[in-house]
Formats: sequence, C-alpha cells, structure tokens
Amino acid sequence: MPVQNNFEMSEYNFAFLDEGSKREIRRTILKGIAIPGYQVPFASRELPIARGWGTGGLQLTLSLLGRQDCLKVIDQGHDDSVNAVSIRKLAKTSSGIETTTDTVEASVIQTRHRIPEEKLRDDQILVLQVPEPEPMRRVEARETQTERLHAEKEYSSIWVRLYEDIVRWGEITIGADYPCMVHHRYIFNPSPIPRYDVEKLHQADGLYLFGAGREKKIYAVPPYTDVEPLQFEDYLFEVEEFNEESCRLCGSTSTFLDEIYDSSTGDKYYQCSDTGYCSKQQTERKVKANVRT
Amino acid sequence: MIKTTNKGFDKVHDSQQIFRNLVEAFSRPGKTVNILPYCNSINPPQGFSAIMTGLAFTLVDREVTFSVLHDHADGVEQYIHWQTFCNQTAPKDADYIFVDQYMDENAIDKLMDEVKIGTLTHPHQSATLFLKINEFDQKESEQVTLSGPGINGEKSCNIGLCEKWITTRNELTAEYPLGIDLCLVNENGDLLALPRTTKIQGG
Amino acid sequence: MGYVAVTGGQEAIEQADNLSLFYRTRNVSTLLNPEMIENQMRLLVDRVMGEGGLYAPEYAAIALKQAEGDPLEAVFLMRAYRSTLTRNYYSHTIDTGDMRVIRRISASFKDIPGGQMLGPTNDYTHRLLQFSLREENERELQNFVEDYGFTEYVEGEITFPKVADLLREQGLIANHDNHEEKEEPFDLTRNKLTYPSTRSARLQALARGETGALTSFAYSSMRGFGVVHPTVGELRVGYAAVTIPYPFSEDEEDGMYIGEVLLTEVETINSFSQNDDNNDVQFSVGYGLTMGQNEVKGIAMSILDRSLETSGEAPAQDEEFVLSHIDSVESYGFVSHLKLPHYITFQSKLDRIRQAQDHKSSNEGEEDYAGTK
Repeated sequence: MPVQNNFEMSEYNFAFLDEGSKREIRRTILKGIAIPGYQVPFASRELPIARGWGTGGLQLTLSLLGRQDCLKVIDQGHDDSVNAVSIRKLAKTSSGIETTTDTVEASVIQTRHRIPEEKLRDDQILVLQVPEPEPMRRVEARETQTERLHAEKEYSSIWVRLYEDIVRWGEITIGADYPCMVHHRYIFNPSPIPRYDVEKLHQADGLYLFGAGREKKIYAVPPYTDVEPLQFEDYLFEVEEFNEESCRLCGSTSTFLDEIYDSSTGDKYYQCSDTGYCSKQQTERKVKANVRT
Repeated sequence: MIKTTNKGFDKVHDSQQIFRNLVEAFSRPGKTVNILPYCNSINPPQGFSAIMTGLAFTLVDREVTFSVLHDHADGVEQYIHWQTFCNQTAPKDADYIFVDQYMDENAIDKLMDEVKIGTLTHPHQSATLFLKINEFDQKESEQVTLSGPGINGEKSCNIGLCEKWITTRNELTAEYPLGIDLCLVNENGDLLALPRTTKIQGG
Repeated sequence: MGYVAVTGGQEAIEQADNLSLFYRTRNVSTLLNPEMIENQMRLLVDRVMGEGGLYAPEYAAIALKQAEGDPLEAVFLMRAYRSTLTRNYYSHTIDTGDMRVIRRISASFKDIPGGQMLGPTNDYTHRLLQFSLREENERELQNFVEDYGFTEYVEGEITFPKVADLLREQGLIANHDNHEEKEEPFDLTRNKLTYPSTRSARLQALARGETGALTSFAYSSMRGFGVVHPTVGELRVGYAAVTIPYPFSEDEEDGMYIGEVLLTEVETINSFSQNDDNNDVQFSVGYGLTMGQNEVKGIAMSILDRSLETSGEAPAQDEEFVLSHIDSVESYGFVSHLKLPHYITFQSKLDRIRQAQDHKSSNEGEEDYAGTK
C-alpha cells in the first residue's frame, strides 16, 4: 500500500529550513534572550504544517537542532498525540536526529499547552508553541496600540480587566495562558499552559523559548529570570485544583491531571496529562510492588 | 571562486554549533563557551580573526547590515560581503559590529556614542557588538560582579574589558529595554556574552 | 475513544493518509497528471501561484493534484515549499510597459492608443453549462488549434503604451512619486509587516492575498462601506521579462534575463483630489498586479490599494484590519487549528467556572453588590 507524504531528504535542507531562514530566526532568538518577554518580530516562514498548528515553535526547533540533539515533542503533555507525532516526524525526517519520549533524555523539547512535570535542566531548552503572543490583545485588538502600550509600559487596561473579573465573578477568570510580568518590564503570554505550569518559568534552570508563527513573534524567558503572574494583594494567583484526585494509572496526586469520561460507562476519572512522566511512575510503582511481595 | 578558501567551514553544521554556543552564552551571561572547533577551518583575510569570521558566517546575510573595525577593514568587509551577501555600512547603522583592533578611549567613546540602541517600540533594532580581547583574565582588568537574567544571583568573573568599555556600555544599557548586546571573544575561541540586561559592577 | 487519549498516533496518521489516498483514487478511470492541470486549469494554477507567491506553474499543478483541487490547501503547499528555497538575488523592477500583451482593455476610453484587445476572456460568453464538454474530442481540438493559426510568436509581438501614461502626460494624474520609486521595496517574507506600513509592503500583502478575501473587502468598499468606486483605466494581461543584476558586474543596472512571467496589471482611476505639494487637482490611481491571469483579484487589489489611502471608519479603509486578514495560509491555518485538542486549556477553564459557581452560590444575596446588575 503506497503511503503518501514520504519525505525525500535530498530534496530538502537539513532541518527543512534554508540557511537564510534559520539565520533570521537565530538572530531573533538571541534578541529575544537579550530582552526577556519582548516579542521580537520576525518574518516567519510557512512550513509543511498549518499556521496555528505549531509553526512558531517548529521554526524555533528547526533552527536550534543540530546532529547531536535529542528531541522530544508533546501536545497536551502527550508524546503520542497526533499533532506531536506529526511535528516530531517532520523534525526527525528532515534532520535525522534522535527523538525520545523521556523528558530527561531530551536536549530540546517542543511542547503545546504543557511544561513537563520533570524539572527543566540547565542543558535543556523548552520550546513553546504560541497561538496568541500578545497579552494585551485581551483588551486591545490593534497591533499599533499594543506596541505602544508595551513601549510605555502602560499596562493599566489589563489590570482593570482583572479587577472587573473579580468584581463580576469574585475571582480572576483567566484559565490557561495566564499573563505574567517578566524581569519587571514586559507583560507576556506564557502560551496556553495551565496556571499550574506558570511557576516553573520563574528563576528556572533552563531556557524557555516561545514561537508564534502566524503572529510572527519570538520571545524568551532566560534561566534565572523573575516571572510573576499578575495578581492583587488580596486576590492572589491560583493554580488549578484537583481536590485530592489522583491519577488512575500511576496514583500521582501531585501532577496536572486530565479529567476524562469513560467512553462506555460515562464515569469521570483523572489521569496524568504528562504521559511520559506517568508511564515512568507506573514502572516505578510496579518495581516497588514487586520488591514488596 | 572565493568559496573554495572556506571549504572546511560547514555552513549548515558549524553555523548551528556556533549559534547554539551563542544561545548558551546569551542565556548565561558571564559563562564562557568555546567555538574554536567550528572556526578552525576558516581562512580569514588579512589578519582578521577566524573566530570573528565564523560568527559573521553564522549571523549575517543580505537581510541585515554589518561593520568591521579592523586595520584592514575594507578588505575584510569586502570578503564578508562576498561570502554572505551582507551589506557593509557605517557603525552607526550596523546591526552587527565586529571589532578586531585596539581602540583607545576616544575611539571607544566615538563608537559607543553612535551605535544603535533601538527604540522603545522596537528595542531589538539595536546593535550587537563582537569585541575581540586578548584574555579574559588579563592583569589590567579587575574582577567584576555580574547580575541579571541568566545569572543565578551574582557571578564574579574577569571579562578582560578596560573600564572605558564598561562605563560606556553601562551608559548605553541604563534605559532598559534600550541598549546594546555585547559579546567578547579571544583568539582561542572563548566567547562570553553580556546582553543588555546584565548589570556589571566594579572593574 | 478520544483522538488524543488513544495511543498509536503514528499509526493513526498513516491510516488517515491511506484513507485520503483511497478516497482520492477509488473511483478513478483516468489518473490526472499535473500537465493536464497546468494546461487545462490555467486560471486556478495562476491563482495558486499568485497567492502562493511562487511563479512555478508545474509545481502549482502538482500542489492542486495533491490538494484534490482545494486552492487554499494548494497555496499552503506552495508556500511551504517556497520556505525552503534560498534567495540570493532580487530582480530588477519589471517594466510592465514592455509587456507582451495578450489582453488589454480600458473602461475609461472608447478608443486608446493601440486599441482595445479583448483577448482570452469569458466576460461576454453566456454562462451556460456546456454539456458537450463531456465528449470533447482530442483530434478535433488539435485540428482547431492548428487551424486557428494563433501562435505565441504573433502574440509576442504586441506591446502597448499604458493608458495611465496618457493621463499622466496631460497632468491628470500625479507623476510617480520619485521618493517611493527609489526606496528599496519592503519584503514581508523577510520582515514582519508592521503598521502603519509602506505602500510597497501593502501592495505585496495584497498581491499575495486570497482572491476571495480581496474581492469581498473591495466589494464592501464599492457598496458603501468605504468610498472607492473606480473606473478601470486599464487592465492588461501579458508576459513581462524578469532580469536580475548581473552577478559579476559593478553596475547594479546590468541585467541578466532569467525568464518571463504572466501578469495581470490593473490601474483604476478614482475621484480627484488636490495634491498637497503643488495644489494640482488630479485623479488618484489605484494599482493592482497579480501573477498569471487573475483579473478580479487585480481589480480588487487596485480598489483596496486606493481604499487604504483614504481615511474613514469603513473596514476596507483600515490597513491593519485588511492586511492582517487577507492571507489565506494564516486564516486557513488558524481557523482549522480549532480541530486540535484543547483539553488542557479547557481543564483550566473548567476549574475557573467551578470556582466561579462556588463563589456565586456562597455569595447569594450579595449579587447586586457583586456588580451583576
């Protein structure tokens, strides 16, 4: 059976992009690291995956990768989600590099919507896919205006928005993609990671890069940089609560859980969203159980 | 053609390695990385540094501008232009400035007075300077204390810069996010970055 | 089972590819070859090249075959391929005055120097579904082509002066803005488009824009959400020569011919205004240029070019609104990304709504204080 989309390496460049495109993205990455949280504009190339499906993250990854790298790709915390598989396959077939599902083994991790449970090390780079890089878009549609707001550090409108939330709902209603202040200068969107993951960005050991392909922006949170979610003294930032629910597979009570409904019974249960971490925990649990018996 | 002189430099993989070392250096100001293995095969023109040439190959092309401060700047600039299609310009307009010559205090003042530091709306439209120094821990340079993003608390180290460079650089970066990003290299390929966010004290 | 919760993503993708292939080929008696598409779906190929920003008829045909005829998908394929190409040269400015014209009309003047030339168009053909196309006979068609006696060679002889130049000579429209002409054009494939943009950036964005989106925005302006309702000064379709600077020459103007491209160029004449610089009263001109033969897009582009020069509240006068939303690769990608799983963000939303519900039920009676009224 002829499977379509077979990638012929010789017709394409190493890591897909031509060297000129990589150079532009690399220049932009360095600027981004030098100005934490500032959204550095770049031309953004079209890729074989659609705009809005991770092209920003993928352009970062493809520009970072070298033959010595080992790549992990997750979507919703999941290595085997179809979009993660598709992105990993493109990176792998166009560069021939190693890939892994183990966070510990990876040198570069591309992710959508999650930061892995295992702590990022100083020799690892986490690449996040960003649908909407502009935190002020919540209150202002125009790029010309939001540019000015950042330039003047004029963030009162987003504070008002949070205040109105509290008045209306008794809490800040922003779920994922919670706006944060980085290095006491720029408010930025951490990409739609849950609030549970936000504190991992603060004074971290590793480097976080953010790529928005469609909106053509790249930004960074370097290691050991202050990242503070927006909050009021009397209305503090809150992470998601799972009310002591545990993962039905590994038993974890300290991870971010997915709420799942059984397809035949309709029963609700919980399961780790980071599948790589969960399977490691399961193995460990089995080993312990074996030792005990 | 000219390209044969750099047969050994792999524009795909050597550039990638140099870039990743730059990422490491920019992410961890004050940390020294080494890019010599990737620049070894370059045959630079007229006494220009192979390390600088490798950096130019990695970063510049016809979409940006560069400037060279070197005793044979004209020849070097023409060489880089031919190799990368990048357009040479005056230091005041340059995106990337490669300094590979001794500069006295007046020359430093003049250069630092005119380099691009970006605007509040576009702070990234600023110059990146690559400075060749003799040694990071030479006698006349005292220890400095670095702090800021990328540094876990504080870091004391030698950066091999004379006071003039440090004071003019600190002036340019005083109004963050405006500023320049500085990268120091020596002939052995050691490289250390001081992005605009790094606070340099002492020296 | 969910489409993510299930493991075996790789297997699922392969099966999806196989199914697509199955549906593309299961009822096929004659396989399409790209050459058929290139020559018989000419206008579609032109549209895909224009929106794809890559002049390569054969590749556009392959893209269309691969995309099963979906122009948005085909444009996406072209753009993704284009991303991998190294660019070492920029061409010289093309002189459309020297175009080898195959079609050229003016709606402003009954007669123009060189005359009107209807060329290949179905503008005046009745749109009756031609059932005879079911049984088109190859031999008859070959005979037709031979007997018709129209060859590319003859076609190539025709060049015309431009209508706009005629008006320009009489001072009825402004001369080219010299400043604008000498400026290096903006290239949005190499720089992010920022607002307010330059006219060259705007024209490039429009030229790569999706035909339907451009047509809709232009139509809105003509209907009253805007002020532009122009006269077509000239619409021409023809082949223009492309040259690049001779690589080893000192003189930038030294050109090397690399081929020719089929283009549609439209100049529309709009209401007149008083020039701020010299107080001359002159018509304003809108400009459209697309790859291949794509006349509606050319006209729509010229309307929007003009519309974006005017100030007002209409959507078609808002540069950021128009230019940010006409690129099909971006709109298509982002709208379709909703098909991706979003259950982390949804989990986060669930947490917020449950909290809000708790808050509301524990604060019953304080509703007015909470500001819901």
